[in-house]
Amino acid sequence: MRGIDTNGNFAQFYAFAGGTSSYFDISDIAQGVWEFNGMLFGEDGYNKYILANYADRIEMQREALARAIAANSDGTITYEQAYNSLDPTKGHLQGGNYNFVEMDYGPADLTCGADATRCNGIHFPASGFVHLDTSNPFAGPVAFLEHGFVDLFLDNLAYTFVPRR
Amino acid sequence: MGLWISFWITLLTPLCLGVSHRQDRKNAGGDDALWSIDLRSVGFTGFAPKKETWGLHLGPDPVCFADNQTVIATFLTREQVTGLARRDEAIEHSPMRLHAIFFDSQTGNIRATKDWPLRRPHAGIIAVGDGKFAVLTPSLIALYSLSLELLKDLRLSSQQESQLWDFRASPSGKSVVAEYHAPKAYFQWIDMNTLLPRPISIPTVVFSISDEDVVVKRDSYVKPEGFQTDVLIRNADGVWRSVCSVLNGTNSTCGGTVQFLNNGTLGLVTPHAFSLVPKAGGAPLLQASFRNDEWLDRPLSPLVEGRRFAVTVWAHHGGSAFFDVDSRSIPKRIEIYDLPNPHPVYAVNAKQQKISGVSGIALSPDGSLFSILTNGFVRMYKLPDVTPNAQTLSNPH
Repeated sequence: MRGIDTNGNFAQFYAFAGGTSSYFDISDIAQGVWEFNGMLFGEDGYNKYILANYADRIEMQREALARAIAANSDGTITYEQAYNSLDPTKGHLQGGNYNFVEMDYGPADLTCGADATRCNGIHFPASGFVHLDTSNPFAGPVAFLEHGFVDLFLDNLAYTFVPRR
Repeated sequence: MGLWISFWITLLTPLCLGVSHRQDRKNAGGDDALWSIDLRSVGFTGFAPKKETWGLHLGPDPVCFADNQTVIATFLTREQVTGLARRDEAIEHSPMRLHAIFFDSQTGNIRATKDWPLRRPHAGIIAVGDGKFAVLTPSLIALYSLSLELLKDLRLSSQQESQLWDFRASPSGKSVVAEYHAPKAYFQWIDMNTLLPRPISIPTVVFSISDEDVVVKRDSYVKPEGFQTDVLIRNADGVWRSVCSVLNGTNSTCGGTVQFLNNGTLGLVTPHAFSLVPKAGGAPLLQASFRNDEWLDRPLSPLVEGRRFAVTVWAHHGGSAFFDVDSRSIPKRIEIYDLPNPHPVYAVNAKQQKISGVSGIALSPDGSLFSILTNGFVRMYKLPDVTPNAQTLSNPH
């Protein structure tokens, strides 16, 4: 990255692996720029690339998350209902966990209660989104370390997708 | 003497007392709302079930217009229990109650109040047209006239009551689908005029209804291409027909959360965009997209006058994707659109109006008024006329 031009509108970048150089508009930088496997994306392009190229991994996380929601609903939500409610097409990757759009079920529908955004690995990080963590970091010291190591350290540095079955 | 007694009775009625309270609260609001009233003055305690799990999703919007002159705000209370209750005690002695406050939509004067006992803290009111409204509780649907006369009721059996998951209303309120989880889902279609239920088959819980139709959305994994999104519609028990279909979300006008906005129009809402399409499919009637830091966390409001609807735009504050820390949703603005204009004709800036949360929003049937329930306050705004060529804000975003 070279900086911003005299008008404050552009930033030059070099992608060294391919020897490419070009310019970003300043609004692109404000919206965020993603690099993945030597390619540069805006947020929408990055999400579409992940969806098109990692659908099998997303599907595995969707199935695992649907099982977890059903298991933590006290028998009121079936696996099939939870599975259908998870929308992968408008979601995004967060670390190695995929954030699904979820407008049908929320914390109030699970056994942990309406004010618990984390319920045995099910995590509602923002309104309308849910992903499956390895564990709830607030469930105890072991779970805290497990979440920190797998969902933060490995997710951000090692995995594209955390493998879930 | 009789004249004096009737004078004092009239003066001391709650309706008259409401006028003076309203003035105080209006001044406290400090904004350009037509009026603003704190529901705490009529018993709102801020109660919301948090830690209990009730196996019930029911939660109608807590504000609705019964007609152009009357807006209804609802809230729940749990009163203190001072004695032991008998096991066979009637529900009337339950400490949980649904309260409804009926406001004059122009002045904010309280026209009436009414409450209903509840076994579980989930309930609300929907407008069903022709000035009538329906009370939805986990044990019954009760149809009332605006004079608070009970017209009809539908009581659920004890089995239905224990299996009820939600009541989902059409935009007009004339039809409701009762969704039961046993845990496999089964459904009843209820005509709100007659309150006669009939079984209906719906293949997924991801659906929305109009007065006649059901729309569903499916995101199927198709190996190895990816995710196939299908939006399908069906009239009553007819055959399913495709509204749109897309692979891996590449077409922004198909997918997202699907909802009926009136009997002929569907809203498709994604985290940063929405589009309105005819139920028959085809070209979008309106499309709007938002910045990546602006989110559409709530469904769109139903269309009134066939063209006007409201959209709440949120910001996600705090939180960290890297550290997997939650963010919280803060309303940024509420925008009013008139089809087919892709720009809002009116916007309420949440920060300027000191709105830090939105529990409910409603448009009057004629589209002239707009009500928000925020932090226990009911606020009413006057809107510009609904016109085919409504003027747009110069810089709405």
